[in-house]
Amino acid sequence: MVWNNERVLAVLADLISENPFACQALLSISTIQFNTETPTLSVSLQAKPVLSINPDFLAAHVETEEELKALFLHEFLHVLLNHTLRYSENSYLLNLALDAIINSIIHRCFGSQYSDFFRRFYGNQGPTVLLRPAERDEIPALFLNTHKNIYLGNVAADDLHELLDFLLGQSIEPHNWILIGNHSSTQPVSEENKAILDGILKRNNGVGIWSKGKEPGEGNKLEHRYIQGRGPGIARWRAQVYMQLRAYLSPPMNSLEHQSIRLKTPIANALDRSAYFKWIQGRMLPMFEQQNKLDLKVPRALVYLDVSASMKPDLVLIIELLYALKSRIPMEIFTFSNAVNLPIWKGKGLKVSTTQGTDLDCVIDHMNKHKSHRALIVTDGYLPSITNGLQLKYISLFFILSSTGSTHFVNKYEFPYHQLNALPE
Amino acid sequence: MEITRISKALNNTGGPRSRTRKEPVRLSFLEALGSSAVSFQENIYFKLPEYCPDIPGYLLGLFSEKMGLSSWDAISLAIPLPERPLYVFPSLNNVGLHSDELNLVHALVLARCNSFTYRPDRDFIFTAHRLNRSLQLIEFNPFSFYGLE
Repeated sequence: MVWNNERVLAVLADLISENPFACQALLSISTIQFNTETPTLSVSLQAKPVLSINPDFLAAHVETEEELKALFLHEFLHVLLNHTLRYSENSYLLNLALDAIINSIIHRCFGSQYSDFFRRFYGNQGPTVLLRPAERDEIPALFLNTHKNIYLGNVAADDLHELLDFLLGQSIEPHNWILIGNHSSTQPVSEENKAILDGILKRNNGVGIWSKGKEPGEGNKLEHRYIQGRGPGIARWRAQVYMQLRAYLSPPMNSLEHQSIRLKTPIANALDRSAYFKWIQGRMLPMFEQQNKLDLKVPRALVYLDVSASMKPDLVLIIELLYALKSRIPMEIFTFSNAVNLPIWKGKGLKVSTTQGTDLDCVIDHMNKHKSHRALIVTDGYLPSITNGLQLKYISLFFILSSTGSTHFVNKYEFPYHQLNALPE
Repeated sequence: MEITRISKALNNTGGPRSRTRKEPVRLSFLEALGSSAVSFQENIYFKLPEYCPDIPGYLLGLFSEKMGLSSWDAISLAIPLPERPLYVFPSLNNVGLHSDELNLVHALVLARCNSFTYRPDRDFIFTAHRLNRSLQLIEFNPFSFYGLE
């Protein structure tokens, strides 16, 4: 095929216009040079990008416009992948691995019209068979499985490099194999060109090139893993504890609390302005909040949850169970360490404040302050002695101890308690 | 004598879904639904000879022979090309080599088409890939399509 410079430039312009792999960003600003100094093609990124093309190489080996485009794409992808290079030194095996992956990408994306060049250019000599699509009988047995996986897109460049290192060793001699592009030592890249390549890489996710992603969320090669799930033991433990908590929180354990609520009736009350506006807008008669309050005695369970550091690992599971119970049994949950705090439910979890220490005196003071008489204390039992023991006469406490908790405290003060079963492994 | 009265009210008989209206559903930008949003321009096609090392020279020779235009400046002045961007779709029409004036114009249009669009501000790119094609050119007016005009 006769290639004059104008025709080569027209093919390159056509490729840039199609913009595969976002190559337009680099190739459109590259200066094109025709010279015989480069063996095949090469790209220099030290300053303004320069694409050097050997016209003799094109005349000898390239037959169609599609094959010429395949060469341009090979060189472009080589530059792009060198930019992501994780290896400090360039070796023949690494170049071989990269070229194999690049050529397989071009074959998969554009078909044999493009990859026929590689089929013709690379023979069946040794590992160079990996650089071209080939029939089964053309591939040496050593590389059969590897070749199949490369052209199915199942192999990444670093995996192939390690495999070739294992199969062939670093002592492999290149013989007279020609690799397309500039495979000499890594040349410096200017900062402007690095920015261009980074922009191109963002548009290509790089899946199928390297097996280990660089950016957060970047996909890796498909792996098969076994993830151990929770066994049935933990489900049984949860069911047992759920029933126990429900029993201890139900009457007669509940403490009666006074609660004031405002009555709502259909009797108009101008002080309830929102209901009044709804009424004058012509809607149906709303319920008006009255000034009178109604004092009710609402049975409500009182739970104090120990959130000191020693409560793990049961604490997480107990919080989940309390979340499930609080919709069924009216309860008020407080957390305590060295002070009592009202936690905030966030989804199925609790946002708590803790000093990591433990002290029951704060619970007793809190109950007396709010005139509570009965409460359920969920703790691990590692509690200091009570200092305000006189106040214990007016309150009734029941303890739920964690599976790893101590019964010393509850036995000392003769509190009723129940210790949870041990968590299954 | 027959009297026909047309009611413009939406008649609601009280039954389920009794008030209905029919509305066409667009399945594709390319469906001709009577709007001016999508209009089919033309089929264009060209074919180069098997061996053509100098494509611009070959075309210039044809222009000179058939239309008496011997330079690209004269061609750009004499030949009107579409002035608005168009969408490109592959055509199933046969590709044949014609030497009449219309196909020479098609060659110029094809030289400005990539795989997706024709743009009047693009340079001519004379490659075998571009000129050995048969395409449909579609004009799509998004303002008309969305009723914004």
